[in-house]
Amino acid sequence: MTDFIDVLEQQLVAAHRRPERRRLVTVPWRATIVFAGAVAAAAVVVVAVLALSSPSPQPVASSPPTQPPQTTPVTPQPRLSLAVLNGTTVTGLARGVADQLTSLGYDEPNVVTNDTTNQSRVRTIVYFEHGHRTDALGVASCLHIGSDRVAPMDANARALADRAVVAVYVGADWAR
Amino acid sequence: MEPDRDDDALLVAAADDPDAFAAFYRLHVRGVIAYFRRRVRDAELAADLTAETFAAALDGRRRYAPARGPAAAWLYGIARRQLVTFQRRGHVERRARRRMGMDRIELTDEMLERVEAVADAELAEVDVALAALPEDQRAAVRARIVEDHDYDEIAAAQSISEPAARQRVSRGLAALRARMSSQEQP
Repeated sequence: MTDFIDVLEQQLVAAHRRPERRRLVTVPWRATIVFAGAVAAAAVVVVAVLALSSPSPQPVASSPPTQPPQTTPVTPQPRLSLAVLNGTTVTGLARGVADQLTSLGYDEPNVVTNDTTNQSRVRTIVYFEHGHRTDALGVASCLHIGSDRVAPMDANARALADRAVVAVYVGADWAR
Repeated sequence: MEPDRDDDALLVAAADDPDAFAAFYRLHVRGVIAYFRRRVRDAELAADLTAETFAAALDGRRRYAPARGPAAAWLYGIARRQLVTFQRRGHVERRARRRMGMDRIELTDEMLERVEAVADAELAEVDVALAALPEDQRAAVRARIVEDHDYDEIAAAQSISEPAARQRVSRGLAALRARMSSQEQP
């Protein structure tokens, strides 16, 4: 049987034996995106300055190739079947959360607005099916919800979530 | 018998010796798993935090200085920082593992059950061993390791100086480890 303690030990020993120089070139993906973004922004500025400072119709000898418009890439998120449920009487809360998740790169969640069983939920909770706790923590993190409000799916949430593996049950604290 | 000296020496040797680091890891990994398991109440998160803690310890092993305290306290200081970061951000940091080129360990249900069992056994053992310590050491170790109090808080609570509080924790940990390692050997 594979054991976590043994696997971690193998990884640590392998990392210890690895030459340190190689480790330095490991750049976090966030830093890569920031660097790429900075290069792209600099290129746009250079093109703009060149365009504005040379109004004459004479063509520039070596004009840079036209760049497609730069857009901020949306962080790719794991493909999850998500549901957002409104546990309050305030309309539009679930839609707002769903839009926020979509804008962060998640697939369009199933927005459940016909829940009349509990409209007095105080706290927002992220529920998860077995094996999807890490996914739920990711969703909670994106919504700035603490890990203490991530919980296994209960029967009520499961009935409403319609096979979603992660369900955000929005409470009154979200409206504040 | 001074197990702390051995422990500290092991971490110093680990600067250039992978086997020494592995020995240091084996000495503490169960305790660290139990430390997180007691706080996050989820074996998967406890394992993830344990992996990041030891990656950070491996990355920072050259910064350890025995004169500044026992190796165990240094390691649990790293664990504590990982826990605080996790509680603040809602997800486990991966920076140290990324820097060390370590992949995320995909945990199967069997592996999680084993992590759970290790944590349970360790917590039970620690409780038994703690109960056998002299009262002052037990209170100091419990305050530092179980309840996460700072040394100045422990010193104030026990009406002693901060260095005395450190010494009490250090001696308590040494006695704990001696008891627990003697239990492991039939």
